[in-house]
Amino acid sequence: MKIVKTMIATLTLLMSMAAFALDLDAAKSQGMVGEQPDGYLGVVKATPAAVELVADINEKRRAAYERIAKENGITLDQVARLAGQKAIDKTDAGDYVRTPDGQWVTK
Amino acid sequence: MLLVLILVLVAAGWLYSQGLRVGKPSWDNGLSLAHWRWQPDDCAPLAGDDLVLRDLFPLTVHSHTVTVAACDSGSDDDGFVMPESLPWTPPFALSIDTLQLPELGGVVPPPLQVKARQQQQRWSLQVESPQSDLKAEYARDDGHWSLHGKGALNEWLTDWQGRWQFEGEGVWQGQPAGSLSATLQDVGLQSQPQKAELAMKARFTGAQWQAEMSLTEPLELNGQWQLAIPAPLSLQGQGIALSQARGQLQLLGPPGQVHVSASSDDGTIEQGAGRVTLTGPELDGQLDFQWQDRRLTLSPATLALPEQLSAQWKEPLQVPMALDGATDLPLLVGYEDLRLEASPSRLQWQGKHWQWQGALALQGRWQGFRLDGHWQGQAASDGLQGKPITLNARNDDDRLAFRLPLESLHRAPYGGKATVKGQYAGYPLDGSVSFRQADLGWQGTLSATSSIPGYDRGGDVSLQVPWHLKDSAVVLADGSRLSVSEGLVEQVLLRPLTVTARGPVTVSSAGAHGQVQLRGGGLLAARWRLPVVAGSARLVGKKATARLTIADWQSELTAEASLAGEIPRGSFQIDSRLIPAMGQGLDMTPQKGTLTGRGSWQWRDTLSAQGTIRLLDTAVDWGSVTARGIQGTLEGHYRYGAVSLKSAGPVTANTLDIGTPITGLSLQMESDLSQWQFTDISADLLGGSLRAPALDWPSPRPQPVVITRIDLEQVAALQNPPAVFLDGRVGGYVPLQLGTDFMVVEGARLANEETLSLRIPPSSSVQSMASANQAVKLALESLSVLTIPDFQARMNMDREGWLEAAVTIKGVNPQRNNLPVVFNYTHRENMLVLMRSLRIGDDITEKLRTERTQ
Repeated sequence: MKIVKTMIATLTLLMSMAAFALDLDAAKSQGMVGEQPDGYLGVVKATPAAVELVADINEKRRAAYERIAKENGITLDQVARLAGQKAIDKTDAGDYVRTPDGQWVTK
Repeated sequence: MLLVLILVLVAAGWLYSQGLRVGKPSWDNGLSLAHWRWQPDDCAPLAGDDLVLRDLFPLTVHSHTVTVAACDSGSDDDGFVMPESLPWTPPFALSIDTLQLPELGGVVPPPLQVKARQQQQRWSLQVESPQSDLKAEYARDDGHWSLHGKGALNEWLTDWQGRWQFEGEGVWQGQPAGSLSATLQDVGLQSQPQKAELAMKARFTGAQWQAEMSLTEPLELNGQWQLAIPAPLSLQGQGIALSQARGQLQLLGPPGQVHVSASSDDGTIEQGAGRVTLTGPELDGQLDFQWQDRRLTLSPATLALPEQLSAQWKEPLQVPMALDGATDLPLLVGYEDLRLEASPSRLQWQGKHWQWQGALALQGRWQGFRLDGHWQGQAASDGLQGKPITLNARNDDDRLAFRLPLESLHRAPYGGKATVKGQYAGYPLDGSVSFRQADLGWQGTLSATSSIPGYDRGGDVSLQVPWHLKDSAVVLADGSRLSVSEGLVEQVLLRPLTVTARGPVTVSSAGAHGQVQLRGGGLLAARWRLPVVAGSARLVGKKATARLTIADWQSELTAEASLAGEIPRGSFQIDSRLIPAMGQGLDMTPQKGTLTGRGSWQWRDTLSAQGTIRLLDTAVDWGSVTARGIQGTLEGHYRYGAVSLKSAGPVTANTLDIGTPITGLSLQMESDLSQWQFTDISADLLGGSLRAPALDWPSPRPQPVVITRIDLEQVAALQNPPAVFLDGRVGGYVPLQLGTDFMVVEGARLANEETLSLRIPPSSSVQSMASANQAVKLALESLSVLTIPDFQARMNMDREGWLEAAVTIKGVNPQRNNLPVVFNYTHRENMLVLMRSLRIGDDITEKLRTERTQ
């Protein structure tokens, strides 16, 4: 049962991120945005389009994190950080990620 | 008798021929005339009622009224020759009850009562009015005359007040001669506060006269300046011609003293000389002047004037004293560190028309700017002509170039357009103000574009304000608009902002009056957004009231601002629902509730504010950690960048679910946002309660938390599935240190508050342990059912979360004939890991970590 719940939660996370894959991939490859340890996208090079894209995705990510947190008895912050670590791990080489001390580096 | 009758008829005929007309003659103790008038032509200069001729010797005449009318006789007074004395007349007595003289030069004389008498060639005249009286006497035999009078000035000049008095005496036998002295006391216009004390003395012999006038007390011109005459103003003349004048006057005020002396040459006032001397804190300089041949010559001078003004000319200035003339005026005028030089500079005038022609150059420093301005042209009473006026202003950071072409300023209707380009306060500025003279006054349009320096992108500012002047105020037209385009500040997207006048907005020295509409498109950042803010502001003088609404958040802000002296201050009020969208950028989600706030603010060099925030029926989620029914009131202060918060009364929450439900939470708090102090903490927990007098976060040392009546049955129920059944209640105290990101327990002690019971149900894991070892089997059998009258536990937990517990259980096993059992054990467990594993039922943490490593 635990394995099933975990799979569902993980799948939900991945689906919520994948929903914006096209725009997000383009923005990441252009170095406009990057993944952060807190589970949310960050703006690397600020443009109005980048801010709008990041804000839109983060709003939906947060909704997903909150739902997962409630379903699994943990806090929003805990889910977000777990997801952030996972997103950083899955980031393609050459894209930007943010280090815990706040620096943007290419993976 | 016949002769007398003949004489009377002859006299009557002569008088009739001179224009005397009478009405209703009768006899009543003398000849009575109900009406009479003297009308030599179309105008009757004299008329009267009720004239009675009582006696012929002395001739005694009484008239009830006599009215003197102003007739244009057309005669030339230049032919007047002063007689050598009053003429011989038979004795007479004339009395008039009411003599009404005509208006003369704006003076309306009051009704006068007149008595005139001549007896033995001694004349006397007495004139009285309600507030004035005059007596004059003249003896024809020796020519001696005297005059005395006094009265109220406003009886003769209605706009004036004060009292007058004069005396005089002399001889009039041949050439009249004598002396006069007059004083005016407390004299001045009724509409003005200034009052003067004036004295005048004059002597004359025939047409030759000389007079001296002086102020007996300094005249208060306003609250600051006084006029004094240190030496009497001396005048000499012949007839109406002035032959010599000499005088001094002094102006005394806070900036200093202005002393003016002037004296004409002997025998003529056509030429003379004088000096103006300025001394004092703000005044300095000397100006010599002379006049001759109707030309005033001002010697070169350098004058320091009030308000840091100065004036200088290096060549003598010659000013014709005529209605038509011209003069060169090469002036250098200074103000603080500014110098305005007029060179060449020529002024011409003809009657009321004047014209200046030349060039002006302005240079210097003002308000931190280096100024450099030029203009060349003509200024006349009807307008300006010439090259455009240019002015450049620079400082280390800013530069502005002003330009005003004059094409439409040389004659009415005037108009033009001034432009400014450059950079001010970091703002690039390109603006213009057009103006034109219309039927209803001046009007035009103020336009400007700029961009906000702090914006990384966008932020273009546009100002479009049609305006007109009305009653010394500038009226900004309906629809006047200030807009800021969308822009980016670091990583925050600022949506467009507009401020639009709704109806005319009047701006004057009394402030602004009108209404403007505000609309901000909101803010957008990576993790939060501020929705559209819309509202309006009403401007009433130096006070503004704004009402803003964030519709998406069901929030409303009302703010008021006003000027208390030079200090802006006001109040604010916030009313808002708490909705999940507000938590977008936070790790918590407000699910519901109401937030209201009231406060005040002021800007005295820096912003300070204070207010009260009240939360009602608020629900907040931190993921699975939920708080419901939060209520409380916080008082907050903001000053010098520091925030302080303090609860007013307890902050309560009905439930706080951290996996273990906590109910009835109540505490008070105080914080500066870096240090949080919680006091009077109480809550219900696991059937018991928790109390703490104070907990600080962060805290340098442990602070006691007392727990009582914890129901072990509810503790055991947290197990899933249950491995042990417990019953009974425990309590104790837990010294707790809350760090910024850790928690330490030091010397906690728990003990049973009643007999406890313990039961370990058979399970596969227990059976497995029992079968592995005989001693363990025996122990488990002894502990399987236990009644515990004595339970003691001591616990410590370090900042990494390692809990070390030492437990002593003394009990009996009722299923083994009350077999006494003493059980000592120590336990070491990382509570952070344990809590996480307890609360994350499906162990998602580990799974995600596992996935990450794959």
